[in-house]
Amino acid sequence: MNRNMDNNTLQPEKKLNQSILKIRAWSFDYLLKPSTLGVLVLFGLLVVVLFLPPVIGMADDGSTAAIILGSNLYNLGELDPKETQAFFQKDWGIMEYFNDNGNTQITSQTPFLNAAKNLDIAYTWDWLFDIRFYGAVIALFYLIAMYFLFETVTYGKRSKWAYVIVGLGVIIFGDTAYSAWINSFYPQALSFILVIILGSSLILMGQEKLNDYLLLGCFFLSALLLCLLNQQYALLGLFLGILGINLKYVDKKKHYQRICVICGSLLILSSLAAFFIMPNGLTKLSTYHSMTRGVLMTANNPEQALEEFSINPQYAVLTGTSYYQAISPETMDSQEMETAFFSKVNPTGVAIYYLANPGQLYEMLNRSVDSSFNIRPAWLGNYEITQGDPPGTQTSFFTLWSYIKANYLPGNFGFITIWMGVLIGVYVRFFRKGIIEKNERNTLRFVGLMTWLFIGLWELYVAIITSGDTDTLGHLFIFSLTFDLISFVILGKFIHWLEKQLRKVDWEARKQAFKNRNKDKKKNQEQRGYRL
Amino acid sequence: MNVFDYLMLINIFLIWSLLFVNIVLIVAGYVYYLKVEKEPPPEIIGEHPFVSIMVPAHNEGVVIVKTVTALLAFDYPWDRYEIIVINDNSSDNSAELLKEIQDTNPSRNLTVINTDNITGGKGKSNALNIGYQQAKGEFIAIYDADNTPEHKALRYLAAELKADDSLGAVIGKFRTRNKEVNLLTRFINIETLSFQWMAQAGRWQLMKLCTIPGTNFILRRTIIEAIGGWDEKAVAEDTEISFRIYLMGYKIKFQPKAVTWEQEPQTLGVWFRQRTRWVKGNVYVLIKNIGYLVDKDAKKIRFDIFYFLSTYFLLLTALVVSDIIFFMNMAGLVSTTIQGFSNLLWFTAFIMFILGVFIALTTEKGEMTVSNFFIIALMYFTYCQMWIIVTVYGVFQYLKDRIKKQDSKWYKTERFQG
Amino acid sequence: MKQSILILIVLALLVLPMSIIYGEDAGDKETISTTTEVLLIYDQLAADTVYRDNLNTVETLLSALSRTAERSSIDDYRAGQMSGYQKVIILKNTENAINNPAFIADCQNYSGALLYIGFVAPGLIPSLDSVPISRQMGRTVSVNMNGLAGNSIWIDDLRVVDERPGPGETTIGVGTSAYPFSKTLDRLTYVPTLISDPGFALGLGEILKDWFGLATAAHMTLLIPDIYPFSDLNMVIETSNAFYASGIPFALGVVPIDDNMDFPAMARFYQVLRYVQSRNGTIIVHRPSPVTVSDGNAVLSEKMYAVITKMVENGVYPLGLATGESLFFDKVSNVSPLNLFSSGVILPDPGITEPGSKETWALSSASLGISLETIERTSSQNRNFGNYPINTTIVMPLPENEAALAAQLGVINNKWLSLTDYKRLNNYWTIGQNTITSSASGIRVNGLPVSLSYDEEPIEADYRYQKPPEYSLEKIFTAGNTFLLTVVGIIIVLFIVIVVFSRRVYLNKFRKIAHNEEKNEPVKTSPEQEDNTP
Repeated sequence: MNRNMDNNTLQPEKKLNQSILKIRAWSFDYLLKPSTLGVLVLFGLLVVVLFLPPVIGMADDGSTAAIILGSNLYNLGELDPKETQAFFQKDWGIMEYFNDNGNTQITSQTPFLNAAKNLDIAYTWDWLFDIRFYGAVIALFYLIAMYFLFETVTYGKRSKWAYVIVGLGVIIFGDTAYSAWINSFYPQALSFILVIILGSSLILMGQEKLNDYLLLGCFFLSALLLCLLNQQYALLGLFLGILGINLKYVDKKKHYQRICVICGSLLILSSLAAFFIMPNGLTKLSTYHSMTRGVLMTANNPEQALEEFSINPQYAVLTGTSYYQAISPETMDSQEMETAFFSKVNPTGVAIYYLANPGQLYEMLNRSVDSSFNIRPAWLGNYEITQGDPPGTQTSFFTLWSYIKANYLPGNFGFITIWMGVLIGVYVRFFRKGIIEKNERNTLRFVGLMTWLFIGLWELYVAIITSGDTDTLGHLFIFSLTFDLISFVILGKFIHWLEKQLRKVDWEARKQAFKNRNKDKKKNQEQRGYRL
Repeated sequence: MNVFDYLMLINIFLIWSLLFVNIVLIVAGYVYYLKVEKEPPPEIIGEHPFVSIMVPAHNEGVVIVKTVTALLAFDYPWDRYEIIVINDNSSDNSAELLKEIQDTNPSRNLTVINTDNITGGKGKSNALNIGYQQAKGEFIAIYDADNTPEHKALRYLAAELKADDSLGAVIGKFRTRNKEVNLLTRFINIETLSFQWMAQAGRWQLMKLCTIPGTNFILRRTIIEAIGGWDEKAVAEDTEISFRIYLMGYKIKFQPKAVTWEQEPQTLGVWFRQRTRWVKGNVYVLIKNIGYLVDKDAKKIRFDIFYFLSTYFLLLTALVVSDIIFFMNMAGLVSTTIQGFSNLLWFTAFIMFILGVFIALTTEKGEMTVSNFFIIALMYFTYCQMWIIVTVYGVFQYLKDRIKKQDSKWYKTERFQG
Repeated sequence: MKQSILILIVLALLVLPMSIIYGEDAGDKETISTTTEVLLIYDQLAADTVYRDNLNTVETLLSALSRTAERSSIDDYRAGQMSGYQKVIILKNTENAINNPAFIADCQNYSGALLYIGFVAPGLIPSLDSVPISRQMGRTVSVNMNGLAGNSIWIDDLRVVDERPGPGETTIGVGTSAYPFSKTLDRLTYVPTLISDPGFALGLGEILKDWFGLATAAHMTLLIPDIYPFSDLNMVIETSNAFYASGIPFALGVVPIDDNMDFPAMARFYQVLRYVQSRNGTIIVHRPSPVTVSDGNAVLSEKMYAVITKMVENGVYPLGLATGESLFFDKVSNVSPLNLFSSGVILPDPGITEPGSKETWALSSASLGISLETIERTSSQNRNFGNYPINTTIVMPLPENEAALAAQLGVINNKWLSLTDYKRLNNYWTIGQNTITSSASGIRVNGLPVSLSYDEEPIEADYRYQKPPEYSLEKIFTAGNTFLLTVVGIIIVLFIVIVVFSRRVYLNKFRKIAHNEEKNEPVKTSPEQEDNTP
């Protein structure tokens, strides 16, 4: 009897031990993998920053009104106009009744908004929308994107240095300057995720990790969502589509090639459609800035520049002014300014002007790079008004990277050019080798980085064209992001290479040689000959 | 005016002065060309001096046969010259190939010395010393293993050296055999042509001083005896020997009619390693002989040392520093306030440079073409910048070796079939 | 004896007008009272009704008459407030009951002058209850005063004093009948209906003027507002010319912009303003929009000082201020130096119904802005238009083209308006180093008279917008540059010669070799060879 009992009690114990061992092994395999570990740390960070009080987010400046209306959300108007930019609003309203506001906009942000709204309604049965639901939806995809990113730099390995790289990644991309955007309606957070997934899927395809079709799907899906985010991103979809079609060279499988071509063409078509259908998204203010804080500010003779746009040269007195420094909102909205000034300025015209005046373009690029290195616009506050902070306070919790970037990196375009030169110089070898050896897959690593670079530079140029150096539309964010991404991936590769080199070194032998160095000196001096 | 301004001033001054010096050399070189064209080729008066031709070779199986064949075909009395091939620690089939040639030409003075890694494998200088031990001639001629000299090359060289006792050595011209292969070889072709006509011919015309290029040259045995052989430590043993010859009071003449064709690197990697080696070697020679710069008795080589110094250190340093300042300026880390010269001036200087080099090209058949003109222009932006990198890297290598007290390895330039 | 008396009389006659003028000056220079004169109490803003702008209208009129007021809603009324004032205005926009017993009590005990506007609250003011009021729904009415008949408007809910109007009184015309606009009973004045129509506003203006006992004659001026440096300056010039030709004095409202004041564009603007001055136009500055002034009055005063100093330097003399009503609700210390203007035009300011501060300050002399349409729709019994009871300024936007200019000019001329030249009124202000006064004898800056004549050249656009960076060693480098250019030029020419020459040598040599076998003959070269060696 006792023995039976012993057996029975022993078996469960043994089984428990075995399961514990299995769990430990599994968790070691998956959880402690650097990429997963990084994601888990980020998860914790996000929870603390975004969901627990004091809740951090970005103050809304009203530019997203049309988009949130498209999901039947509206601004509760708890803050008065001067305060809306200084404080973050956590609570928004869900429209109970029919949304008869004609000013709605549907973009790729809408499904995310709707998902969050439904979550909120399911969770709390009221007509209040807590923006943290939306933040949660975005944060989920954010973590997925970061997982992709970490995978590209760690090559899935578990060496010491992989943890170091992932740690750096957490510091850079978990910086509150980036994560604060998650708790806001701006398209920045979504574009953050999409751009990362875009490039990472290309690089991962080049590294031959994860399923090709999965990665292809990720690439095309994120490209599609990106170009439907905003009219400015729509043109990007064109280039991404062409890239997508060219992906067909990477693999010989017919299925693969067909997918590439079809999806690529779809992407091109939808981006063209989006470009023409989507509303402009340009505000009067940004058009104003594109001239006064752009073309006119850098021109040698603003009156001449104005004449090139067929604008009354007397508008030169507005050179260098921003926002409502010189003229009131009423004047800016007046019919007179509309006919005499605004109707003659459009992004295409400004773009052409800059191409014809590269010196001015260079100066603008310098300014934009400088301001883009401050990832958050300085005038949008992070805290809720209930926290009692002075208006416009920005959080400094976990902002090491954004602090370094804003204050210590040289913020001008010359630096970016050198940095670009280094990047291309280092990586173009792979590209060439890949093309020569007809192993196009190898080129994907370079292509992925180049995609990021292209997107970043494109957004930089678009920012200058549409809003001078004030970036009222938030394009510089993408440039800042791609800069960080590319530097991060290269840094990862460098650390990896360093680790390989260090592994080759025979530390013991070197130590011995160093200790014995004085012993051979005398012997060497005695030898004759042409030695130094 | 901050420190960068002063640096830039110095740079500008250096670059422009060296530019003018080189212009003068180009013109002098062209004058010499015209002079040589007018003269008849040198003839040997009296008895043909016995010449020992030494060919140091290390794993040269690909090219050695062609080279030796060309050497055997010299228009020179067969019994008045010998060929000594030092097959230095080769791991390929050079030995068999050479044996085969020996067997097919039993009546010729063709000696093959095969060494292993104990007796040999210590570099070109060491190989030459080994070969020298067996050389009988009163003149020593050196050819690299990848050279195919022309028929009369040896004759002209020997004739020149015999005719003038004040000469310690006579150097010939070398051309690029594989100049059509790709853009890099075209660059090298132009470089060698302009360098020879400018540096060698020009300097001979103005100062009666040339530098031995390491191949296709002939020198008196007495000189080798006097200096005790080649400096085994020197990677650039040719420059080293030149200095020794000057110091002994001899001159080195440039005879462009003695031509050899050699194979130049075809890929960037090989080119880079070869040039870095040259730079490293020349830096060594320079450092070793720098004391002579202030030595009163060394008047002759003072300019040469100074010229080398200025080319390697001053000019390239000036270019490197101005490049660095340019980049720092771009990145906003530094600002220079000096006016500098106008873009027009730099552009005209650029045109002047192209024209100068082009003049050197007109001396060779088939080189005075429009495409070469544009290749020179392209060279300025690409090839010359690469030279800057080579110099920096070469100096760096030199310093590294110095610090580590390592032996300089004899890295061999890879050969290509052709 | 007779002679000396005559002389004395003549002298007196000479001196008297001057003293009158001086007296007028002194009289006009009514000090800005630091104590508020009027308590304005209203029941509700009534934002959903037609009475929503009543408070605004009353406040604007008070400022136009240079009166200061304290404002309070009935709910906020504290006991005893009324006793501190000699004049009280009660504005009742709704028929809601009053819930403040203190207010009711004080009302009934108030012994000062009381102006009651709007709906009657039964029992609030005893004497008011006895006034016969006729309430008519849905009428077309017009306000008539001084022989000027205002535009007819539709009123849903009209209350009028059911009596016959006295002669010369302002009346409300309803169809063929006429009712008095207001009724005065002892110290109580009652205005039954008020809406934000210009006619009603002017009618109330007259009431107020009498109520305050202001005797000064009213004048009418013309203002073209909102002129920026980038407005259609050609039209400004044309309008000036047209008005000058028609003998119409006018004022130009310039918006102060303190950016880029050195630019040629700004200089051209000043030039146009000088031209305007020479064509009998007066320059007035607008209050800078609060949005363009980031914070604090320090920035405002800097801006105004900068702008006006620059203007005066350039011969442009602003004589008044054009502003909305909300300015007067800001503390005087906050709006300095705008309060230093002696005169101003109060433009319609739709934004305010309940601005921050409860107390106002006032300019020495102000006028109410009215639109050109109001003038157009007002018909006069006489050929001459006549005068409104209070100072008014016709606000006429800059015509867009010559056709519009002609139309507007037509309106003005056809109405036979008698417009006053702004600069002939007595204006003064001191800002920074400059004191400007204007009077019938002209404009004086710091005591010295200035000329307004214009004869100038157009401005060259030869302005250095960006200072080129200074370079050191400029001379050496420029000299060296030229020197080297010549040297390099010579060398290039030399090289080209050599190249051309060498082509010949090249062709000779290689053609010869191509044709000949390997001969060692010397190449025949042309004799010019020798000369080309440098």
